[in-house]
Amino acid sequence: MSGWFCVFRKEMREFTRDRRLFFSALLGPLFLEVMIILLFGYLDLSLSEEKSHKLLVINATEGAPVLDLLDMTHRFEIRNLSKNSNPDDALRNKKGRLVLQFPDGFARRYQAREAPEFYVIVDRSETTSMIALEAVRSVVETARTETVRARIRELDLDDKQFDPFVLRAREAEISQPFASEWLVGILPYLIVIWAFYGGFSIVGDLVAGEKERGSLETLLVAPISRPAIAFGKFTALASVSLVACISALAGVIVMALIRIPITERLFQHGLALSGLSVFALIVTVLPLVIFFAGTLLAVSTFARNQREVQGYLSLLSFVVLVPAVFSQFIGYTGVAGAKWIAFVPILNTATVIRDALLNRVDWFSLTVTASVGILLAAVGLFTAVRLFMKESVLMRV
Amino acid sequence: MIEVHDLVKHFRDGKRGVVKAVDGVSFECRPGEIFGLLGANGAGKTTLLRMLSTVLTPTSGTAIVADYDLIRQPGQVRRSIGFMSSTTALYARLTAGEFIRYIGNLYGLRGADLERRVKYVVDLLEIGDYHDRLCDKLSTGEKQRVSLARTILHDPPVLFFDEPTVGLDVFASRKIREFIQERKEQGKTIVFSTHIMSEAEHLCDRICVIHDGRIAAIGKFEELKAKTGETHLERVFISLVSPTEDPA
Repeated sequence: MSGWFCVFRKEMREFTRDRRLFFSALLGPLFLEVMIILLFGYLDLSLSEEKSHKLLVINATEGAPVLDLLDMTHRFEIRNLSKNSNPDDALRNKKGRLVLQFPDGFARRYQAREAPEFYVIVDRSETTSMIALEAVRSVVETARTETVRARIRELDLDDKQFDPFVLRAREAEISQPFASEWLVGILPYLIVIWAFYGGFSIVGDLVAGEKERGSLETLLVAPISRPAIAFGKFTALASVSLVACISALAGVIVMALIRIPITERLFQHGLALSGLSVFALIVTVLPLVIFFAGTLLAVSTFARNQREVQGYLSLLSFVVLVPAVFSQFIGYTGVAGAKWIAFVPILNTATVIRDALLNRVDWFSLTVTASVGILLAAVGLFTAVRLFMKESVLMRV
Repeated sequence: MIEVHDLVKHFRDGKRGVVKAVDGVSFECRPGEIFGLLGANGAGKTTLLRMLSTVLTPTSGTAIVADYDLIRQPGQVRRSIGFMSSTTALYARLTAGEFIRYIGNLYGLRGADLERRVKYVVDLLEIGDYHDRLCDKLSTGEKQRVSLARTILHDPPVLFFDEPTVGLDVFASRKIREFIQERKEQGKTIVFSTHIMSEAEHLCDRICVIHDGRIAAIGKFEELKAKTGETHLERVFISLVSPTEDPA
């Protein structure tokens, strides 16, 4: 195997001069990660802020008792609509998030304690409309509770007797997540994706490109074994994939450290990643990178030319993307804690990464994932080397 | 010294079935000799040279190259040969100097030994002016000189040239022929493959006419002329590979 380091060093030197690689493995992951965090920070902030919900009101004079309550919370911006306005059209044209429609006689019936009805017209396709509905409901519910209590007290009764029980929520004293739920959901996906796509731009060049250009012959006539050539190229590719992963993680870490207002809610606990979590990340991501590098090299060796490489890789992308995409939503499903996930490549790594970012380590899952990863990495590397030794594969152009 | 014994190479092709690219070729080439492989495109010259340089494994037969057995000692064979082909490319993102040093490293050259050899080939082939230029930016002639430098960097006793002048202008081709001639005078064992008749005629001590993977004839130019009764190599060649065709 001597000589592999020469090949590795030469490949790395060429990579450093390849502008495509600078963008795809270094700047791309970093930039994209920063952009995603900023975007998610903005979304999180927008949804969490006590922002005013724009309400459109038809027949506002009748709805005064309700509108006064809403106004007191300072969470609503109330605008009147003419009595014959079409509420559906108003929502369709995004004039407001909800339309509150009060029937004639509402105020009188309220005074008479007849529990009058009013209508809220909501656009179910708009999340903001649903959020506004919940906000209005919460105000109405609070008013109802307060009214009931007041009226019970009017009867000289203890209002507490009418509470069947009292619910109090307490946050469990378990690990603090590295970042907000949203970010923890998407980060594993991004790390897995960069492990695969990091070396995408150069994998075609690596063997198929050399076949096409004729430079591979130079290597094959040199006194260096073919496994050593394959291993040198493999280590270079794996290094690039690893750099892409590190670059993606670096983007997250930098954003966690600099703590700008827009991302503050995403990283409430600063850079809260335990040593064990870092260990879990390393032992699962490293085999995945090796597996991907071996697979990509095998594809590049098998293909006749760079165009063929791109064709195979497009198909292969889906195999990687499907479990990676699913990993984003696994937290919302009932299979999140299932043991079998540890045996499913890519999905298992993404799950362990997710757990690690939540500062949790499930030893069974970690051990099986690392073992499956190492096994696949060995298979990937072995396949790449075997293909490299096959004359019929290596010499076909 | 090269001794080739009944070398055979068959390929399996989806459409054509088994293709006999080289079919029982035997010859020998001595130090200080330029042995020409003359054949049309697809005759089997490149496959033969690829086998002799261990890039391809023979289906059967063997060869002794620089005292090493092709099948049993491929590593030593590779250390003893220099292989240059018109289709062999350089690495676009390495400079000429980096490329030569990289090849030197692959051949186990390090430190002062490497620098001494690099200086020698750079001076010999007048590469100094573009030594630090990326290979991608070199002209075809300059690339060919860098390829020559790579071929002789480790001072191998055996040299294989596979159509090295294809695509080059008159001056660059001439330079290469002169270079090969000088290596011959240094006592190197040289196999030179070409389909250009005049090159074979002027450069080679002996010519092996190869056709459809088989040897049609081997000998000095004079011997081939005598054998066929023709006076020009082109006519000699045609009468050897296609006896029914009128050379005129």
